[in-house]
Amino acid sequence: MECVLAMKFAIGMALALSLGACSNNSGGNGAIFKAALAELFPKMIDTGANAKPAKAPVLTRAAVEASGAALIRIKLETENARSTLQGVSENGGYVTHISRFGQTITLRGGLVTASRGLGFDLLAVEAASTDPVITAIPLADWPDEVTRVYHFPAQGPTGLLVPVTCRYAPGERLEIEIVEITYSGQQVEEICSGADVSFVNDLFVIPETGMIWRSLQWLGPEQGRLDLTVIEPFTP
Amino acid sequence: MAMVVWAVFGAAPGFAQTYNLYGEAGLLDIPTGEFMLDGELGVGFVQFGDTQRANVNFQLLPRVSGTLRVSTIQDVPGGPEVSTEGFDLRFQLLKEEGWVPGVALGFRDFLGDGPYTAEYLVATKSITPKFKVTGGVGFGRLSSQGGTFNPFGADSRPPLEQPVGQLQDEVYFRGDMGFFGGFSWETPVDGLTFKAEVTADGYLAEENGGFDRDIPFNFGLNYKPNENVQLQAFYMHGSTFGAQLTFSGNPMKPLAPQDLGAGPTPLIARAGDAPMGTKWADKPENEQKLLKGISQVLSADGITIEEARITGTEADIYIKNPLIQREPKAIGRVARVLAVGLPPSVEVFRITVINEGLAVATAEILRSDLEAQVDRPNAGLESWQTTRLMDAKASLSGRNIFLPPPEQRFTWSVAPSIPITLLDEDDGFRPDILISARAKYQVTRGLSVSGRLSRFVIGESQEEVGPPVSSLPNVRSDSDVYYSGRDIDLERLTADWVFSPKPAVYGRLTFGVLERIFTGVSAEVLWAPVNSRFALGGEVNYVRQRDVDDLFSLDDYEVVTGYGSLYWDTGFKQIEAQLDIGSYLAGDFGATLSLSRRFENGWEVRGYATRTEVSFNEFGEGAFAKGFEITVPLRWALPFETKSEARVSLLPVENDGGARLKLEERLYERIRDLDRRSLEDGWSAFWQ
Repeated sequence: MECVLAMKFAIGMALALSLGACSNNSGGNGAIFKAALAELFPKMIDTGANAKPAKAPVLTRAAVEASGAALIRIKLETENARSTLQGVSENGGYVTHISRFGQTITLRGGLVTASRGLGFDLLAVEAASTDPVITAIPLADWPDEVTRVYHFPAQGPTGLLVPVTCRYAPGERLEIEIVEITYSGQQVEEICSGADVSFVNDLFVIPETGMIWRSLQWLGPEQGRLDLTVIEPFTP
Repeated sequence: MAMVVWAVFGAAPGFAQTYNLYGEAGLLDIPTGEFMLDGELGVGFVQFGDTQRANVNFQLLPRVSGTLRVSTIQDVPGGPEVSTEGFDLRFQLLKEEGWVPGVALGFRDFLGDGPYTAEYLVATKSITPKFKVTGGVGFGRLSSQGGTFNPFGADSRPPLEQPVGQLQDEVYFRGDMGFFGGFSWETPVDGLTFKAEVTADGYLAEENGGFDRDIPFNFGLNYKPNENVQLQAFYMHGSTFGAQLTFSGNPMKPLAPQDLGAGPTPLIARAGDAPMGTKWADKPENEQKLLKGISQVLSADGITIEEARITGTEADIYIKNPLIQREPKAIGRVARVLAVGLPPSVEVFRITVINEGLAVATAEILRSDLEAQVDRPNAGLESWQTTRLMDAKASLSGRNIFLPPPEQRFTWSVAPSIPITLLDEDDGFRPDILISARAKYQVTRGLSVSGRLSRFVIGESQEEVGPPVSSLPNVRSDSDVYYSGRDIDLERLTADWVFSPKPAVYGRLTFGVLERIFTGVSAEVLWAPVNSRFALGGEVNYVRQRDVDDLFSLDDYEVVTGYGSLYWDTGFKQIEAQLDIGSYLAGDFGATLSLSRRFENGWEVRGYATRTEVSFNEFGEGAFAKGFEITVPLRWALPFETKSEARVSLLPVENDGGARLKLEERLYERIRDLDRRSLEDGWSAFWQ
């Protein structure tokens, strides 16, 4: 809520600077004014960006299988809107999925290693290939802890590096349904902390295989957690 | 590094949570041994009794902060209020860690301009995370009531060197020493802090004006509804209530989401068995088709192709990026689109960015590097290491060059702005509003005609203006006459030609109404290799002073003015230095030193000082020309791309000595976002 207020205040300040501005230049203050108004009063201004998308058809397992594509469904934990993203590129195990609005999520195994267009980008995540969220192994064989380095935009080519250590706390057994398939698994808390940061990822794991079908994963201090459901995993 | 982490994730031990009444880390009147986050900017307004203070504080470096202030006090009962400016500096000697307290050394009004000249050494220790105690010793004003023996041996404090506005090194730490102390307690109410302090500040001048200093104690409550706003209510010296409102922000902590919208085009590597033939390139129409498609995709990001050539193995693209604030992001997005859209045989991408009519830098990127690096954790660093930066040629030469029809040549805008001065000694915080109408016709890439008309809606036009007082030619001292003498002012009407005769060498010719007070011709040349931390420039101007009443008439005063300039990117904490030596508008010879800190997202804080052969006394109030500027990119506060920015001038000390022409878009300003250091600073955006 505080963040929303700060953003409205910021936009209000921008409005104050460009109040009444008009121009024939797409990059000029007039464009800023219009876009700022659209942020504050989305129903008043039609910039195209706020156009209501056509209602998405209900996804069926038959459609998933017919597509032959890797599919994930995402939702920011703090918001209600869900998007389905399709895997479109792969490089060394890093699979990038894109939504119809152009936002992208990159996964390495089950680990979110990058996000684009959701608000505050997660540039990348460094982790060992033995990380159980990356390479599925039976839950009983998971290590006590893993280390990762999260990269965020900042000064310099590498950006801001945030190293964390994560340990695991198994929780209750659950059943969840994902597009007509019911999975029986276990909830695992991934408790991560670093020098100036701590967060918890929630993982839904099939104990026998270590496959993670659903998770709530941290995207950064400003962005919060992403609710990720794997509808159809990427297969090389 | 740790500073950046704290900026992103929140405060850590040793960081101040609140500003004091002087706009620095502190309790109420007294400072603390804490410091603000690196880059933190605080703008605050204080009122108690007949005292008003407007403070702008900036954490210049992790251990150095500065405050600019305009204050108004009343030192004669019922008499006129006295406004003064002030500059403070403070240095963090120790950071709080373990048993070690935070310790700071500070100088208030260290140029002697205001009534607050004082020096102090202060320590702060957290007893619990929510309870901090502070103690210190002060000199000057901070020992003006109940001061005691100075152990450093200097027990008398000499008068300030006149005119004020210069270093007062004979005064610092001289005279009686006073003690001060206090504590802060973060109450259980979220965001509410209680403060109490005792001080040896006698408030002598204010007492002459009727202020009662009954007791040496002050008490206050500070409330932070969010991290950008602070409200403070306080009770001063047993007699007077007051209030303070402070807004703060940090360049490294944007107010709005920075990456909302479409992400970059996913990069799909060429298949191992992709056809690598180049026959397709023999037909020029294929090049046209490819570039048309690429242009359409890039237009979503506002990027336009100015010229291009695609051969069987290489692509040279000149782009204009009017929207995306970080140039590496624009370069990265173009590279991705080329990698997706061009036939597999094209391996080398050379992307040249044109800024304000000048082709500045060319980034040469191998497609196979992009394909290998994309989405991997070290892609940012690896792509920087494999990208070759070169000085750009002004344009492509040879055959088969794609030249799209020019986009919109005529642009115009009408916009209000808060111009020129946020803090002013005469008026304190001065919320003038100026309506400006601008128009520009781009004849060719480098040749344009532009003009600007303006009118004050609130501000200067209502002022009474006194006669000029300077003994030098009145090139600036009567500028108020120009600001108030015209209903609608022609601020600029020029023909501008910028060109690049060879890579890394740039030229500019400007002719016409150059600024509000002068008309003439200006010529400039700049040598600025992309891969160098140094640049050299020269500027010569012949100008005549404009008539106050008639927009197009000229007065008799004419002068040739010019400078040689050295630009140095220090490589330390994003600090850039500029030294200009030459002849100024009043015919005086001297030099200007500017220091600025530029963050990768466009924030900039700049300070400058000019000394010429004009003496302190001849210069008059302020002793010499100096001032500060803060540039805030609107992108920092807006959730969409824009290159627009707000620039405010703080406490400019201007007079006829050391005055320069106020030219827009000098060459260095046009090219500096595209030098190696600037691109490297912003390169984490390459993959965004």
